[in-house]
Amino acid sequence: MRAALALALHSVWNRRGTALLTACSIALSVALLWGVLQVREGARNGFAATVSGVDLIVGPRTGPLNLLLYSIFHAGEPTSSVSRASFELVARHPDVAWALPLALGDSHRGYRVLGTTPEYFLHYRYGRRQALVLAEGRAFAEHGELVIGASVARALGYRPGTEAVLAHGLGEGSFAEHEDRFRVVGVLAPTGTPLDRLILADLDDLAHLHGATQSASLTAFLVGMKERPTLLTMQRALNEYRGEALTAIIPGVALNDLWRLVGVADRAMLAIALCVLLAGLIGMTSTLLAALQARRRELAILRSVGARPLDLLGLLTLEAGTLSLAGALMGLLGGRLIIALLATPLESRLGLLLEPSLLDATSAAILCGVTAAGLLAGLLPGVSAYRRSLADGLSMRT
Amino acid sequence: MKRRGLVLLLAGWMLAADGAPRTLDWVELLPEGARATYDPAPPAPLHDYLTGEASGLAAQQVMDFAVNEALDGAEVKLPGFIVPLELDEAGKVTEFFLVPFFGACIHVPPPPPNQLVLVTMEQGLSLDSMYTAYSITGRMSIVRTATSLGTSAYTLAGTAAEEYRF
Repeated sequence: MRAALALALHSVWNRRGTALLTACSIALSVALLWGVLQVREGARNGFAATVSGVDLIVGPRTGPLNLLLYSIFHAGEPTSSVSRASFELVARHPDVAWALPLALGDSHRGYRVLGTTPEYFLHYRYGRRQALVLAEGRAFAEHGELVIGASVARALGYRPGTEAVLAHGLGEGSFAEHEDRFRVVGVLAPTGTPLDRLILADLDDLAHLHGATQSASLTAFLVGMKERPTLLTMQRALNEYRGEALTAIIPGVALNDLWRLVGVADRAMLAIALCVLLAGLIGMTSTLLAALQARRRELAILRSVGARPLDLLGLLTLEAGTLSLAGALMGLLGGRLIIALLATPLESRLGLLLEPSLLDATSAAILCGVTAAGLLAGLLPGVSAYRRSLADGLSMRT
Repeated sequence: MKRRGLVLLLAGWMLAADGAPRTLDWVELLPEGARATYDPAPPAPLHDYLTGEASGLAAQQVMDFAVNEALDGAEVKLPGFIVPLELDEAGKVTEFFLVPFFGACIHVPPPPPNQLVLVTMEQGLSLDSMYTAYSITGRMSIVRTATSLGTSAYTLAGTAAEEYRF
């Protein structure tokens, strides 16, 4: 076996030019497969698990998807607002653990500003109930302080201490700028969710900009119950509330609906990845088969000096295995290199957060899978070499 | 003497629970004494939940939200509809309410607390439609809560889910 392996390695080395090309083509498809899987993971992380641990989202009378989109994904526009009185009523309810007001409407250089309270950092969860982490600085506490998302910080080059002027409405350079200057005091760690592109400030601080001492209306608010089983009753009570036309939704229900809608894209990505893998494997097999055609004489010589047909089978299989292992390794390394280079533009332009670890389960699976497939692919030319007679190779004309 | 009988009953229950999970009916979630008057329709509200205002006659009704203590720790299989609460990265539902009737979150008043099971499922459940009923298998527990609706609630650590065929 060891002799066979040594022979296989020598044989590959002897044809290093062709071998390198074969390995490169395998590397390319492995890198592509891994990259597609990474993008898929980045896309779904920032989607299905954007909000967690929130029991109800309450907004004005609207549709569940619309409310979810503008309160959590910060996409689309709210049609009307909720009164502060309704918020206070819910926040004071004995079964409610916490309530977070949300006020949208201001912006800074195209990024939305969310007015809320410092409790937002305590209660808001994403992913699998992950809390928000400040990468730098602290939460806003005093007048004129801002906390910015990771993408905002990277794109604008802001750090704690940077001063910013907020504008009313959205847009890169707004005409109705507020005069008060705000100062960045904290930067959130990347979450891969729409939060990365958000600027957070104190609700009443923003109301101040508009000439009020306290914000009288909210865009929406988030509610956490002390005990989950009461949330359905609270939802019902809010939807039936006579004092104001409200809509209360369970984020999980709306997220599930939304995911069913866009999950097709997720499955399409997986299908693309599998096609890439299939194309790569077919390419590898055909390269190996073509190489065999050119090596009939060599194999016959090996036979004539005493190699058994089984040795040839082993030799070709091992060669193919070595090539695909090398190709897979090159592809995984190359893929990481490309993603490391592209991470910043991908994040700031597409909002895709890709954080590949050096060794993950996907890579290990790809490595094992491609090597195994390579060994199997090597069997095909191997078997045909095994079955050819000695004379076939020696009597051939080239 | 009575207590000993209860212990024996419980022991017998636990032995029985060792085998295949028992398929439950929603009425069994009520304590024995409350089943005679079981009405699958949702109960009338006691008072306005949001403002706490008592509203006339309804306030004088006694609502019993007691649970069936014998179900604590039992391996059960319970069919119902799913109200998703938490989704994982792959879009699978990992925490949800199991309720006896569809639309418990939108169209009709919610079921009383003893007709509601909070299920956590580590591996998640791919829920294509909220109109599909599932049978959930797992261990039932009763947790003590302190809410204005009741003092105990059912939770279930789900291990398996299968589509329920009517």
